[in-house]
Amino acid sequence: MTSQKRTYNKNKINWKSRSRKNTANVPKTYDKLGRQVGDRSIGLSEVKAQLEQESSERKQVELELKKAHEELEAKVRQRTTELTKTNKALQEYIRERLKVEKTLLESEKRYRSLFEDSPISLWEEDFSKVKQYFDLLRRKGIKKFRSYFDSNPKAVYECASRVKVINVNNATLKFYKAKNNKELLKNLEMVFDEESYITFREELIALANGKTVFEAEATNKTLKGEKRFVAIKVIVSPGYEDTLSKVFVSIIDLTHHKQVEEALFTSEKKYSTLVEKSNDGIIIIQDGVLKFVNQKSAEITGFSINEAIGRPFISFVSPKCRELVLERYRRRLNGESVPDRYDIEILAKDGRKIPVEVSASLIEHEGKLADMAILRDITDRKEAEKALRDSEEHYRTLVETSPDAITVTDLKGNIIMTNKKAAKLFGFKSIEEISLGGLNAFDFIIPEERDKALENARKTLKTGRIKRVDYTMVRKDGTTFPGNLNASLIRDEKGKPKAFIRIARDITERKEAERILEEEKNKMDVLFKTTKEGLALYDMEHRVVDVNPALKRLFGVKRNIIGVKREDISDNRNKYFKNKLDRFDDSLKTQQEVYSGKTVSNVLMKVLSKPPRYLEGNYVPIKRRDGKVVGMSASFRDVTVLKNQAEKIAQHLLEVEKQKNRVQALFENVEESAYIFDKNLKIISANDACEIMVGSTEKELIGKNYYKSFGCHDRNGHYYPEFDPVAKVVTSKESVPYDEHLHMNKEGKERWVGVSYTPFLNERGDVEQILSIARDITTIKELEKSKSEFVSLASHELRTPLTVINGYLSLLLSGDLGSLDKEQTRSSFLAVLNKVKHETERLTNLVGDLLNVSRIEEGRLKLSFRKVPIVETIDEVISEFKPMAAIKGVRVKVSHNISKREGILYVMADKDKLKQVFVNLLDNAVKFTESGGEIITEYSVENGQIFIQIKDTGIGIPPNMLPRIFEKFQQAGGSFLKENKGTGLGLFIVKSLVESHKGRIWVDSKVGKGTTFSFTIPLLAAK
Amino acid sequence: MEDIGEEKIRVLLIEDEKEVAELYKLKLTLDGYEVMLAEGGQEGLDKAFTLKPELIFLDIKMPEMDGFEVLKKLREGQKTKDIPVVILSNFDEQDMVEKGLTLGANEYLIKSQFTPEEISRKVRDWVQED
Repeated sequence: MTSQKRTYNKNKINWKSRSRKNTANVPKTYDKLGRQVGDRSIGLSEVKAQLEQESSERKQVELELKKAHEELEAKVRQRTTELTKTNKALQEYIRERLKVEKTLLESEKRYRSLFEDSPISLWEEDFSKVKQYFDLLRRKGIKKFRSYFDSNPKAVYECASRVKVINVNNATLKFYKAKNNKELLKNLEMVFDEESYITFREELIALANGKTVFEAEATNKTLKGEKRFVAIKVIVSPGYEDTLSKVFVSIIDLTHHKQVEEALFTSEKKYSTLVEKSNDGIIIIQDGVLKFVNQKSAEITGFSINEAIGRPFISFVSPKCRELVLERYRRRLNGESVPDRYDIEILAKDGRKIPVEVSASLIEHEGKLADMAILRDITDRKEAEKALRDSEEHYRTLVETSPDAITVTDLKGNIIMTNKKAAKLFGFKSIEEISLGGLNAFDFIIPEERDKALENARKTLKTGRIKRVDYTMVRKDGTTFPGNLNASLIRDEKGKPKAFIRIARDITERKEAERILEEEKNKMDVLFKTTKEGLALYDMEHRVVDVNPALKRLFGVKRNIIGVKREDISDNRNKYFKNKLDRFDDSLKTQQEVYSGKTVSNVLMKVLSKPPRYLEGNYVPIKRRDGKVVGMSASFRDVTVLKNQAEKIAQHLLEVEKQKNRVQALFENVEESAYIFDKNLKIISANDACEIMVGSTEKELIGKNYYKSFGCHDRNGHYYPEFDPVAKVVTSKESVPYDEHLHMNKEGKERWVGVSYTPFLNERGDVEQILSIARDITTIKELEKSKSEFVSLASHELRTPLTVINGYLSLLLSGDLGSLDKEQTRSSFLAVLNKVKHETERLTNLVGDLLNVSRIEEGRLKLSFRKVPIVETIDEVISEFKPMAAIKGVRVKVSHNISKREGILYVMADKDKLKQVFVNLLDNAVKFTESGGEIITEYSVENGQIFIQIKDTGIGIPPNMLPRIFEKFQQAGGSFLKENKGTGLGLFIVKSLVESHKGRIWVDSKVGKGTTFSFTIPLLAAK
Repeated sequence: MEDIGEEKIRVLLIEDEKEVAELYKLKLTLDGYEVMLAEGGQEGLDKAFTLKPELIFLDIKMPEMDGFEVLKKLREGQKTKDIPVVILSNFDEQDMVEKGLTLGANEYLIKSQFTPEEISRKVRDWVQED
């Protein structure tokens, strides 16, 4: 810094002497540089000269144009006259035709003479065969005649041949050069050429579509083969619309007219090319309105040609010029001499005022005088003139207000002009102080660097420009600073070097910044070398500039890659890298993108080392200040851990998803009602089974309180008064595996439900949702109840004989009943032993029945079915039973209506079990029948079954007991506690056995009168 | 055990199971008590009111009127409410036991678990103490 402030006293002295010496050398002009630094007057004159030159060139073109136009005018005039003549003739013809047509409709007679004498060619034709053809086509389903005839030219020819010419008049003979009628009274082919068929096709389509009049221009040929342009009109005669057998055709010759038109068209074409291609706007004004406008005029004004034609020309003139224009227009038309070239402003469509140069001349247009004007848009010229006027001023302002220190010097470095900024930079008070000082630009550079400066000046002379050269610069007071200089050469119009423009800058700050950057870079260098991230720099040609150690490690770089092209590395990876590399992108495409200025991120690569590692690459373009990409930096990160984790997570998520689906399926399909609700008991989800259980659809349940919807309550109707399983789940975060409660369904029926509650925890471990799975256990509960009742009753029944047995045995053992030795006690001993035996038998029966019941209930009772003769079996049972009944004084009778002739009746049965049915029923009957009573067994055959009734005259069964008589331990006589002699299982077993024999059993009873048990067993079909 | 001249303690045995009733009557008689037998609930009630026994053995499972109903009525009756009642039943379900005790039985015994000797001793326990 101190060195930059060094003072150069020597220079201080020099300032003044130089200033005087150089004052005279300040040049006044810079010709070609007029726009930048030069003298205004000289610049202007030069432009003017150029404009004038252009103008004279243009005049030449205009003259040529005018000449061409005049020639054309003459031609057009001639043709127009001819055309007018033919037009008149045509008009007459047409009038004549109209007359004929009118008359035709008026009277047939008058028509005849008119027909013959008409100067117009008239034809009478018969189209009936054509009509038939149309009908044929219609029958074939053709509806669109246009497309049909368009695609079937043969059909058109066919129709032409079907037209029959009935009559022609004299004019026709003459026109078609026929000698007599016969030559034409055929079909139309002899007057048709190829083009005729085109018109004829249209005619056919019109007729086919039901039209009765058709008009067109067409070509015909005479019988001599001459081509004729004609206007034809086809009229279907009134009254013949259905048959088309009379069609009237009038033909007017247009040939001459056409020829004139064509000639005119050709010459106009030539002319219009010239006019249209003109770079000037050309317009023709007649009677004050625009009659003709060329394309260029349209472009200038923004109006389309069609928009412009017919409008008063004065409306296109800017108001301030109208008076002048109108005056000159009038005077010119009057034959007065007026300037034929002047500048005006015209109005464009969008309201813009466009300066134009007008050159007008008088011409004849369509037989009348007209004004032709050539317009040239001189906007550019006007603007150039204005710019020229402004430029020097502009330039001066530019230099003066520029933030840069600008000095203009001659080739020797003598200062011609400078600005405030420059004055300030070099320590002067004002511009004048430098300008008047006659200073040299080299004085602002320290002497040691002046040779370098001179050298650079020479270079600038050669190349025209030199950029950003650093110098140590000197201020007026001799202090120095680091500076930077841009210089450009200014040449005169002949290309000769004239002056230098120098822009100087104080780069003290930049130098400082560079130093800081350099320091930063050094710091960064450490980072570059130590970071775990792999870094690589590539130059413009994709060559590796530098890579850091981390990159070498990540990629396993095994040889030098600095200076190697990226493409080469990519092609020969095994040469440069230890391991194979899989890139999950198109390496070259990525490169292309980066070099086109884009950043490409997250490119995944797999290094096939053991174990494999994953790298993630990010590519960033290195751009110059102007945005041009000069290189690429790439950074690579080892993402193996991340990648593996991500894969694990993905795997896990997949598993979770699968699990979820399984759970969902389970949820939907289980028989159990499944609810999901939140900890506030709000139902979130409920499966179909819920609907069955509580009678509400999932829709109705969602959002409702779980307990209430479920109808959970205790006997007093309280919702979980003592035990709230949900609250327990929420607080314990553990499931409640089983809870039983009563719930009320929609119909108000009480059901027992077994429920499990499982919490779903959120990521914080709190209960978020609860899954309840409920099963209707009402039936199980009922079964359990009857089971425990059964067990209770069974054990009671077992204990009763045991009590008696044990009681007597203990009495015997204790000697309460005396000694066995004593004769007198022996009889009471015997009585006791009999009792014990009786109770033991009872116990045995009971155990047997219990076992049977148990087998029946579990479906384990095995029956061995055989062919059993039923009548014999009944006799057998009765005869075995009679003695037992007799002991109690009960008579047993048998009654049946089966004769021996019916043969032996068989049933499929387990004979022992079948006998048990009889024994049990007979036993019961005896048990409840008083001595002297009677038991009758009746049997008969009914509907292929043996029907058996066992009737007693016993105490009878109360009606309320009848429905439960076949249930276990449900003997008649009152509550289940009622005593009777049997096991209480007999009838249950009987019913089960009858049913296993495919039979039915029922009971009828009257209290005090007796009971009848009836049952059936199917008979085997007799053989 | 026979106390001649002394008035015998009267025991009412309400038991429908003939064999069981006979067994207990035999033992209690041997032990010197005057045993009155009732084969059903209603009969038992009637005898309890008229004969004023000092102890009642009461069976539960009986036709027409079960032991609980008898007990309830005994406890409701002025004359019978203080007579000790020992239930003799072969039902050993807890709710039956509780029901019996709640209705005012002094004891509930499961028949098959006691010998006639032990049953007889209950008379001494409940009557002869004072």
